[in-house]
This record gives sequence, C-alpha cells and structure tokens, in this order.
Amino acid sequence: MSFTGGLEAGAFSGLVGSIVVSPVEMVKCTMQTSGRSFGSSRECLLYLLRSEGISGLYRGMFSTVVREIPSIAGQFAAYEYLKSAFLRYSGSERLSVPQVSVAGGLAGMLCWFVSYPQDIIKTRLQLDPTYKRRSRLDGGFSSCINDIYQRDGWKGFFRGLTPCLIRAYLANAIGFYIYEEVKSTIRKEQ
Amino acid sequence: MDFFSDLVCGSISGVGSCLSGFVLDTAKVKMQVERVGMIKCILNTMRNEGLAGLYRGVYYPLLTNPVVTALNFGVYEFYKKFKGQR
Repeated sequence: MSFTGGLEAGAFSGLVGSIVVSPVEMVKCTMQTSGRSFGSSRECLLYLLRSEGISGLYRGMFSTVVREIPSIAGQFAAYEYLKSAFLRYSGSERLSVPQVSVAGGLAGMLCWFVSYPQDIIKTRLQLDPTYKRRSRLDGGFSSCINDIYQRDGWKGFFRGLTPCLIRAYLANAIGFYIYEEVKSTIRKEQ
Repeated sequence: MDFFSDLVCGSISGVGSCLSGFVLDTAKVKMQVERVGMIKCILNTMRNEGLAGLYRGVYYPLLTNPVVTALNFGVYEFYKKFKGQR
C-alpha cells in the first residue's frame, strides 16, 4: 500500500463517514458537557433537532471532515509502516499479539498529532452556536481559531491532548488486535 | 478475504475501541471547553454525577462507531487490494 493510496482511502472514508460522525459527535459532546440536563441521548437529539433543525445537527461539519481525513489516512499509513517494520525486525510471517497492539496503539496516537487542533475547533463550534452567526463563509472556523489563539496561544489547540492520547493508545491497541484476530479466524474458516 | 468479512472485523473492533476509552473521551471534551486538569476533571465528574456521568453520551457512538470503523477498514482493504502492490 503506497502512501498516496492510504491518503486516498482515508480521504474517501473520512468524507463519507463524516455524514454520520458529525451529528453523532454533536449529540455526544452536548451530553458530555451538559451535566444532568438530558435524561438520554435520544432526548438530547430530539431537543437539538427541535431547536436548531437538521442544519444545527451538522454544525461543525467542515471541522469534522478536516479532522477525519488526515486522522484516518494517518492511522492506516502509520499502522502499515509499523507493521512492516516489526515484521522486518522479527523476521517472522505474522505479528505477535503484543506487536499488533503496540503497532495499533502507536498508530492511533500518532494520527491525533495531525487532527487534534481540528478536534478542539469542532467541539467549540458544536457547543457554541454563536460562531456560526459570526461568519457565514466558513461556519465560524477561522474566528474559532482566532479565539483559541488569543486566549491560550498555540498551546490552546492541544488542551485535553493527554487523555486523548491515552485513550487513543488503549482503544487502538484493542481495536487493531481484535481486527487482526477476527480477520485470521475468518480466514481459517474459509 | 472478502469485503464483507473486512466489515465484520472493523465493526467488532469498533465496539471494543469505543467502550474501552469513553471515560477518557469525556475528560478530553470537558478539558477542551473549560480549564481543568485530567485527574481533577474525572474525579469531579464522578463526585457530581457518579459513574454514569463519565459514560454520558456513549449511546450513539456505541451504535455508530462499529459502522464507521467498518467503513474505514473496508475502504482501506478495498484500496489495498485494487491499488496496492501487495
């Protein structure tokens, strides 16, 4: 798999996936920051739909797309690179369990370095409807960048990165391990 | 290995990765909007809203994450097969 191939695949699934990911993130982030205001995610979804309509649910779509594309492409590219490096190093045919976990975990962490600023912008845009009114052209994207920079400098774009990286390592170490495991089980059955 | 089994692998791994890290995801989102440290953020949420507070909002990601992960893995394997050399 070439680098550009990984990028193309990531771009395609990032673009298509965002149609689902964007409103899901909207409800999720609202739930996570609103305490006990909503009894369930469904209640939150209905509230958002009633108060802002479908377009409100897709607020921050642009930042979701520019987050997803480098993130997915970067993750697969890093995973393939680490996998082949491990195989070359150990000289075996298949990766061992810890090797899959480490490759998946590291790949999951690495991809956040190219997508975290977009993620924090996405969260801010989704939770603050006033951004959309400030600039029609980009849905408040640039004025949000400006606000974060004014307040905390460049460090502001990486606030919350620590739990994100720990989570990325754990989730992808487990995720890629399950992926390889299920894949080889199915292959054996066939 | 066909496209369908790529989807199965992706979706099972999507559930696993979603559940294993949601508490830290909640910490991340809260830290993105307010100035608070990671440990303090998790402890405060536990104290004020209980364990449920840390898993608030997990429902839709849990439903859709498998689909999205399946799409990512499916498209990736598809590209690998038709565009890659391997």
